[in-house]
Amino acid sequence: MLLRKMLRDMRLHKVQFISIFLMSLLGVFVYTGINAEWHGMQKEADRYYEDTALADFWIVGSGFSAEDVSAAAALPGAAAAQRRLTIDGTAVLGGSPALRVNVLDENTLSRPLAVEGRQFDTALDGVWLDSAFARANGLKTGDTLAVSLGGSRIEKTILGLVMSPEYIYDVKDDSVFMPDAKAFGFAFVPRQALPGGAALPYNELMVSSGGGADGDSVKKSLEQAFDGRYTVVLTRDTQLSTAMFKNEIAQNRAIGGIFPIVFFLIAALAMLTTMTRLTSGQRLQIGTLKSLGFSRRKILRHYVSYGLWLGLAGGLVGLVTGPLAIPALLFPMQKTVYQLPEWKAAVSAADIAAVAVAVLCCLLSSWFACRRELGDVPAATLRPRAPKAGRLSRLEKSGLWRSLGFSAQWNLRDVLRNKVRSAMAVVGVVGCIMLLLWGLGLRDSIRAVTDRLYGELYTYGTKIGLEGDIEASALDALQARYPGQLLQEASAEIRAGDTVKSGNLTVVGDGSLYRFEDAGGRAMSLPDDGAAISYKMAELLGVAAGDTVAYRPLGEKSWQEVKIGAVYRSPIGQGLSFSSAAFEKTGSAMRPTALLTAGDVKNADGLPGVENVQSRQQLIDSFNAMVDSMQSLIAILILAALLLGAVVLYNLGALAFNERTRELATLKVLGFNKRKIRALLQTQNIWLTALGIVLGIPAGFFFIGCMLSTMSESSDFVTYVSPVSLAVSIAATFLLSFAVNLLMSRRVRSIDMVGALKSVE
Amino acid sequence: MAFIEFRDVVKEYGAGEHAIRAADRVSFEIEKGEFAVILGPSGAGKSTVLNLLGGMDRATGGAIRVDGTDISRFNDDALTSYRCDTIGFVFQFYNLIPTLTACENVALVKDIVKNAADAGEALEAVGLGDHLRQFPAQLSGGEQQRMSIARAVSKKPKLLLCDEPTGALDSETGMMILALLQRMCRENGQTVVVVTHNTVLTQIADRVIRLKNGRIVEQSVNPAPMRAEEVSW
Repeated sequence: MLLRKMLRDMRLHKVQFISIFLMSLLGVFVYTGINAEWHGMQKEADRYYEDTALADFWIVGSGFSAEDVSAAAALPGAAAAQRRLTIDGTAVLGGSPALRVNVLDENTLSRPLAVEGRQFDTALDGVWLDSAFARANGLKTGDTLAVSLGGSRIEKTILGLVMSPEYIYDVKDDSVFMPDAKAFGFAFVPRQALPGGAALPYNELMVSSGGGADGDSVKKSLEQAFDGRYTVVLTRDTQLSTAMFKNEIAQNRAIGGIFPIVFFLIAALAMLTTMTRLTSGQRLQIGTLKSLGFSRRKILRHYVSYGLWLGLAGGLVGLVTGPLAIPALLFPMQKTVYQLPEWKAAVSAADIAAVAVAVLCCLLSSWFACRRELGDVPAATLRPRAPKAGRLSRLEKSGLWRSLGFSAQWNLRDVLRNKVRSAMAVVGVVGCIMLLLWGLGLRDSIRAVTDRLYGELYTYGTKIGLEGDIEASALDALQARYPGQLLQEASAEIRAGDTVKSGNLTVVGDGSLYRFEDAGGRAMSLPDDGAAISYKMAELLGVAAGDTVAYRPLGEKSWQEVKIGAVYRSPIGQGLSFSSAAFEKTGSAMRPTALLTAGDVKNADGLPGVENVQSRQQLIDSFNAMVDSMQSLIAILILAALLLGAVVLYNLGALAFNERTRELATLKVLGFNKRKIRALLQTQNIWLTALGIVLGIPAGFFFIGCMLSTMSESSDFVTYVSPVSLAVSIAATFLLSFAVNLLMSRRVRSIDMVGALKSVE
Repeated sequence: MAFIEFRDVVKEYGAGEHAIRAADRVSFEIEKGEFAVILGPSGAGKSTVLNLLGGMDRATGGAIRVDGTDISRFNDDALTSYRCDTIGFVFQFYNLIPTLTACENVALVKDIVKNAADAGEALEAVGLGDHLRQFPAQLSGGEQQRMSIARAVSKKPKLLLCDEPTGALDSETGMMILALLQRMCRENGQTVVVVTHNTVLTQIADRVIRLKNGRIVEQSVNPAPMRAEEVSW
């Protein structure tokens, strides 16, 4: 019977209970959905890594011998080793896309995975090409591909299209933000298929630890074993693709973790207010049940079960729908960035824990709400609760109070006497505007990076990439043809105390096409002596201007100390920057890697010494592609925000309305017209919405910051929300509040004056 | 030994100087199968006595013996099962669960009492056989009170306690309710205790206990109780 009572009670208070159900559903929906997404990505990647025996360490150096391979494999903690030759070349195709060619004589580690054509075989003569690259450039199995590799040209038949676990994030280096399959790809060629293959050196050694072993100690022993013969040892934490993918998963995990907190909090608050209302309204019924001989435990269990069923129902629906819907929405966006052989959502045990959390939130708050009514002896419960002593607060005694007018007094008192209900409304609005800002601000922040990078910092029109061994005469000829600024970009390790970070080493020639800004966004020039350090790198190393750091360009053995003359802030590429004059004072010579020029450049591709040509527009486009790829995530955020706001505000309105029906009826009897009564109800809504907005804006900014900071160490994105986005968020929240209130105040007409004033029950 | 015995029962609300004595050394007896009326003006302590007898509240002092057991020392759990097994309550305002139908309101007690009477039969017995599926709000006051009586007796209690059962009803309907209660007493040997301020009820009672300011002022046995239908209001 009590079960039926519960169901009918729920029908009577359907708005409240539906909103609790929805909140619990949404919380679990979002959590399990995002969880299923990243969990699935992780699982698929792990399987991919294992199936293809992805290496754990990459030692980049020169001339690795067969003895080196067996020496590496014999190191403690190492399970297998393989050497290969990796060369950056250019495919002879329109736009001269870069192609990284891996030359193999065995295929045990980081094996390519064929998706079309034949499996990779070291005994065959041909090339296995990056499937995404092939698709983007219109190539298929059986076509002939020509590649220019360090001056020589080879032509091979494409025997298969492959994916590689080293290129889930398929980019050339970390200066590129979005993979562009048309501009970069990788290929695998059997060593014996190349002319003079036997004489070719090996410049990479891959080592697998076979799981288990402690990565740091293996890395250390590798560094010792090959001391002086390597330029860098990469691990899965520093190898670009694996590291980036790991970051992406961490980011999704962070979003999935923060999101549901808001919903669960709302669910708990809504449950608390609703159950407090319900049980105090049913005080007499509780007394009746007690007098019938129902035990305290049984009655408590009855009321707590409201929370149990609602939380459970919402949670289970969320558990089923979340992992189905959210990965389906997010995977298409991930697919534009990452290459995985399979995309599958995966449900984990943590998802069931989320349902438990939802249930617990509802359960505890309903227990908390009805405990109060159950404390009294049954005789007392049968009497109506003595009205609260209603002490006047200091505010209510002051002269200011009297000058407030009826509407303000009425509403203020109502808010203060119903703190939990008001808190729920405020938290709901905070959540709403926070999610709106998050969605819009994330986009703004990345757009702002584009604007800052290509509007203020990099004002060149074209970046001409130079070959590493460009001859002086060729450089002079290029400079004469395209006047501009020389730039040297290299990777380096930077050390302060015991902390070592990898970063960029940038040397800037004379000119104003490549600029710097300080932490406050003001233009600055590089110091004439010593280096400038980027803001984020300074933070990572814990240094400031005036300190000394040591750096070592990749491939060099000795550390060089340099004094920090200034700090600059850059959204991408953290590290040290020198003016060419200051760099030469340290005793090094500048070796330019790029020539920046103001205008558009055509037909520079074939010129001697030119490696590639990138227009500024291409760079901007790749950034914008990143923003576009976030579209569906942003849509989810905004949708969730609006739903959250609407549900919470409607709930608040319904509660406030129901509780004040008698008061409103009295006002109606006194002759207040509908418009006045509506205004009265609207006032409170506006106050609480405004308060929620004031609190929600900083929260929104905070979460954008959180999200941006989970991006890689090399980026330093500053939270930026455009005035338009801010205005839209505020306006949308207010509009929502008004709309909900309008819906609610239509009920004013239906207040039955006589009925509402007659019965006490 | 009488079925119900109150011995010097004291009930105080509040503490110290401000303590209010709602029952002051109340002593009385009621025999099994009697129709007893506790009479008194507002604030005389009638409801206090009824709440103590019904196990809804605990006495400050004295002993309350029901069917040989002293309930005044019971803890909460024992009081709960005492209410459950021994007492049937009928309230002035019926105290029905508004979200349950007539049948469900009565069947509710099946959740806690093992050998409860069938809800349909109980309602049939109070003349509500045609209203099983209706909600309390759809019924008149008299019908609601009958429903509440059906709920109380379906537990087959040893003692039926009624707090102003006719207080919210017009005289004719009130008479019907009293007739119903009296019939249950006469036909089924059900012990009934009614609390009221209405002196008319003394005419139909087997025993009358008068309270004033928390004290017993008179206790008498009615040698010739009238039938409820014969009483003029």
